[in-house]
Amino acid sequence: MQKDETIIRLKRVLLSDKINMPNGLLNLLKKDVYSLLSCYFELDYDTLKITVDSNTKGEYDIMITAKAERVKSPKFF
Amino acid sequence: MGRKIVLTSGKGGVGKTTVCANLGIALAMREKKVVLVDGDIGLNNLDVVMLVENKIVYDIGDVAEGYCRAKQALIQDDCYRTLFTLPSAKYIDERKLTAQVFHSIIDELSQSFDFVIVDCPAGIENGFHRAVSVAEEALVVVTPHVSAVRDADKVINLLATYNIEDVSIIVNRLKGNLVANNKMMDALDIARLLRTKIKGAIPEDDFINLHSKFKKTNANSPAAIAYGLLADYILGTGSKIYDCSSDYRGFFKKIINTFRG
Repeated sequence: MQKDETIIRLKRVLLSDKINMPNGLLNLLKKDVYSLLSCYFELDYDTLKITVDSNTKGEYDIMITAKAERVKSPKFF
Repeated sequence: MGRKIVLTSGKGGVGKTTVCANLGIALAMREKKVVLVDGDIGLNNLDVVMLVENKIVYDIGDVAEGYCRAKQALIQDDCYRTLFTLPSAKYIDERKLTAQVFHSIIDELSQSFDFVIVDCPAGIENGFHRAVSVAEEALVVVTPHVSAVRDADKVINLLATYNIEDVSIIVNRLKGNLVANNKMMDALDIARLLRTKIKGAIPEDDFINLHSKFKKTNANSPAAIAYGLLADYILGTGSKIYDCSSDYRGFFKKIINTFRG
């Protein structure tokens, strides 16, 4: 639905305004985290979600979630 | 002492002046003594919306410079006798209309009126600071558009640094058919996003688009009803928010509106 897409977009914009972090930086972080995690797990890029929020103390809460198909064998490390 | 309310938004063009005028009318219809103060120096339009531009003798600049008293600069509305407008100046030296001077003008007016409503300029510069620093309550006008909501969020954060007791939002220009079809955010969606209390939802209205303010003959239009509910909420005699999409929900209403186009 168009309305839901707008709400999601707005949430992202309002968040990036609050945490003073450009949207592009979050994409860069996601790429770096993906390249790190993919050394250890077989995972799909789209399942990787990174959210950064600010709390009342002015600190950043960073949450990374991902779904991996399997753990990579140590011989590939 | 009357209540001092500032109408602000951050973003321009969301309908602050229109909301200011119509809220003033709705409060005056409820027999409240209301003065609307145009806080937008240079880009003043409240006089035009209130249809008093040809009656201006003194403006807020003259009051600030001591050429007249605030009451002498007020213009009484033709229809609603308890509604007055204090017009803004086309130009005034910013050093002469400081926040302190503006504060003393608003304080003087609040002695004789139930409501002093300040129409704040767009943006967050000097004019915003001047208008906001005099208020005890703030109404942030927002439309259901990403840019307007974003600017409202910034303004709400800024308002937290002022001595304002109550900050609420008014969602303006809602299109009932789009809200009913889930294509446009409704007023409560926006209130949730901004984490701010909502006091009014105003639908898009052709009459308001054409004339900027509703009249006694048009008092049953959706926008006029919405402004009435907003006034009741502000007065504490009601807590209902106008449901812009109610006319577009339900099978029969959908059919009727399809034929209406």
